[in-house]
Amino acid sequence: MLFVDKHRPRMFDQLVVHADLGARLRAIAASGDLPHVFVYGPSGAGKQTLVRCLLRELYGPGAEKLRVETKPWKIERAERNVEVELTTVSSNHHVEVNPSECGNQDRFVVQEVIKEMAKSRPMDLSASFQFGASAGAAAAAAAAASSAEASHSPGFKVLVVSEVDRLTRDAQYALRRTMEKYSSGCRLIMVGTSASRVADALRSRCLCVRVPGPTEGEVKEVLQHVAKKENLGTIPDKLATKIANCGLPEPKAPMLAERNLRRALLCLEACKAHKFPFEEYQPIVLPDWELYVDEVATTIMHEQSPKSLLTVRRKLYELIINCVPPEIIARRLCLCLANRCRSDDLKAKCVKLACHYEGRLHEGNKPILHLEAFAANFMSELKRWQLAQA
Amino acid sequence: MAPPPGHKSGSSSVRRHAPWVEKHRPRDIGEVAHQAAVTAALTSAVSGSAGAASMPHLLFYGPPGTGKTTCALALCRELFGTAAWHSRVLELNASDERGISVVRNQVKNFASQAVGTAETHAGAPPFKVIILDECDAMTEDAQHALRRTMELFSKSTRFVLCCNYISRVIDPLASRCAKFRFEPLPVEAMTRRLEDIARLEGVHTPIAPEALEALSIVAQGDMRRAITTMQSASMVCAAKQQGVDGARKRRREDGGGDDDAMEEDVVPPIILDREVIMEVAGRVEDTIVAQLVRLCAAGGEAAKDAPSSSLARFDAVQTFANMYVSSGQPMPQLVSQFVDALISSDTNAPSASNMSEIGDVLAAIDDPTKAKWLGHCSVADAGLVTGGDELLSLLSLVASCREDSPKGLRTLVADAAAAAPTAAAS
Repeated sequence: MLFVDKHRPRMFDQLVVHADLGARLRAIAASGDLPHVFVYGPSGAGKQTLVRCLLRELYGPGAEKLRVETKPWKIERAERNVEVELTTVSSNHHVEVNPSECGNQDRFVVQEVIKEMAKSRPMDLSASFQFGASAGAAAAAAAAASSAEASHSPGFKVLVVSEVDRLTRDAQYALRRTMEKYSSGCRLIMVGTSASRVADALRSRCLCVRVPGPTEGEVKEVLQHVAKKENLGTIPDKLATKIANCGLPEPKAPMLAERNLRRALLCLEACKAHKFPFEEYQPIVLPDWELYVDEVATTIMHEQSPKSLLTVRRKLYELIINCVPPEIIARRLCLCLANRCRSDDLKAKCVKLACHYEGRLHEGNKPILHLEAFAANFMSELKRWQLAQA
Repeated sequence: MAPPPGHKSGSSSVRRHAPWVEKHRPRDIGEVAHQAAVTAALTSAVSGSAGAASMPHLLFYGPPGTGKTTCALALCRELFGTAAWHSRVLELNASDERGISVVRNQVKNFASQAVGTAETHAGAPPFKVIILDECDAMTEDAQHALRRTMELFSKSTRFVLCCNYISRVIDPLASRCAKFRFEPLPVEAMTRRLEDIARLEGVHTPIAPEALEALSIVAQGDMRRAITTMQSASMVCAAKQQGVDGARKRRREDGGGDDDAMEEDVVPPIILDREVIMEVAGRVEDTIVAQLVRLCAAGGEAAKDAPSSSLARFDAVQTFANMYVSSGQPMPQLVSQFVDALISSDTNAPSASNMSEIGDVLAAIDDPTKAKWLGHCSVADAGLVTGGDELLSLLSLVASCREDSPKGLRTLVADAAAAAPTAAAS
């Protein structure tokens, strides 16, 4: 089991970062009811962890017995019948879905799944026994064991919708309606990275919980905490700092440091596999694609010519073929380039160009064209600047 | 008015989080806050000498949260009472399917039914009402289809259309209706209503002035937003207050159930906190907006004017952008508050945000510069709507603004930055 999963806090008490948020959610859950909740923040900040803790607080250990199902949904519409396949993670008390994986048909999923949940409300004691009977004797025993929990569990189910920010507008509006219609027996917990991509109408119906990214200190604290649990001794401070900042020398690259707990823990594990016991100046294993983007940036800085552009193009293609999302390539490339620019004017030009072409990525449908256009334009700006200097 | 919902029982084990907006929706036209002109006209339409039968089709328009739907529902209640509601009123809002097929079938069917005389209550007027909420979200085709239906069945059916933008309702529809404009609520009217609700919901009244101010900043005349914000904030505040003794109480409940009966009746009223209101409403802190203004003003050449200024370097922009994005706050909010700050510095209007800290910088920005900056804001916002990366757009916005900042301003900012340590570090 990976460190990330093994040491993911399962209860509010175990939280190392965002303990204040945890306490707040806990108090709200303790009131016996829950409003719809929208949890947002950058990735690796601990959104899912908070949601898991919240579920556990609401339903007790029963919420941790998860099963994964992939099931086709047949949805009958007036115009046509729609078939979608959807993977759900569920316990007796909640269901987790990621409707955005159905692309354009997410609207139907949202409506159907919630309706399905609202129809069956096995939250009271008798119903949990019923469920147990149908699932076999062992489950019945488990249900009986957890009946003490169920007796004071709230009278609603929870639907966790991940990546709400990637839902289409239609789906978001459909959600809004279903939220109101079925709110008596079903609460929504929505999770997303970008609050701005979630419709105002949805946000205004929820308690919005912002989970900010962890600070460097917090990441380090978590790292030490995990290391202690794993009996790895303490991690040398320099190494911990380096892991927390994605392996970059801190003062030189303020922009590249994205603090991400998941990533930091994975990195720690990689470091351990690489060299243990830890050393102060031990190298850090970075993801291949990041190194590759860095290489592209080096190429661009080194030579600005059609020939070099061809090289860049080949490399960009390779990145895209390896399923690195083009937006992420654009962003990373921009940051790498800006870091290498020696003049502030050039940096400003670089980010403006990047923003322009990154925006176009979303409108057009051939990512390579926009990435390449960014590279080419930046090359010409760089050349112009160099000539002006000389 | 509904009986005061269980404040007393608020401490009992289950406390339903019914949305306060629904719970406290005014039920009579007279109760609707502020829209005096509209309510007077409507009341006379309902009980006037010509009787309700002369009621025209109605079109309510105005910004969200000003009472359009409430008025429509209250009007129907006054016309029909609850008994005849189901047979006489059809309410459709934007979340229901509302393409042309719905207008052709559902609306037309309902409209074409004759009004039964048997069930006509004493005084209930001889027509039905169809409420089309958010009708500016209907497709143009659907609106055209509606046109004929409205005329054909006008004897037995009246329409009440509600919308935000009257310009999105096609002219032929608008010209068939009596139009009523709903205004954003002024602070006093809103305050009165919020106090009423707060009293019923066990929030400490009178609400502290700073909390009220925060609510009115957040709401900007939108009653619904004010109420939902207050509800969320009160939940969080209650959680904060009871966070400590909640655990203690639970432990006691496990021990012996006798004392809580006594304890439950003395739930302290929830005290609203300005910070919490701003946080749940997703407002960006004023210091961050101020920092953004300073960064924009400290243009690229400031490095030459005041090389020592920490704001002059592009690194400062990078640090700021990184900090903002990793804090998870939505970027459009920052843009809109930035725009607010720029505009309010000009008009001396009751400013939406508290920008006194950088008042001199804002005052020193001349109009052409402001115009250019606003242009950059619009570009950034458009990029974000189509799904642009937040970090890159923030960087690009600041970079563009810096290019356009006039020289005098740069030195001003440089001085200010040198005098006071910046908030960037925090």
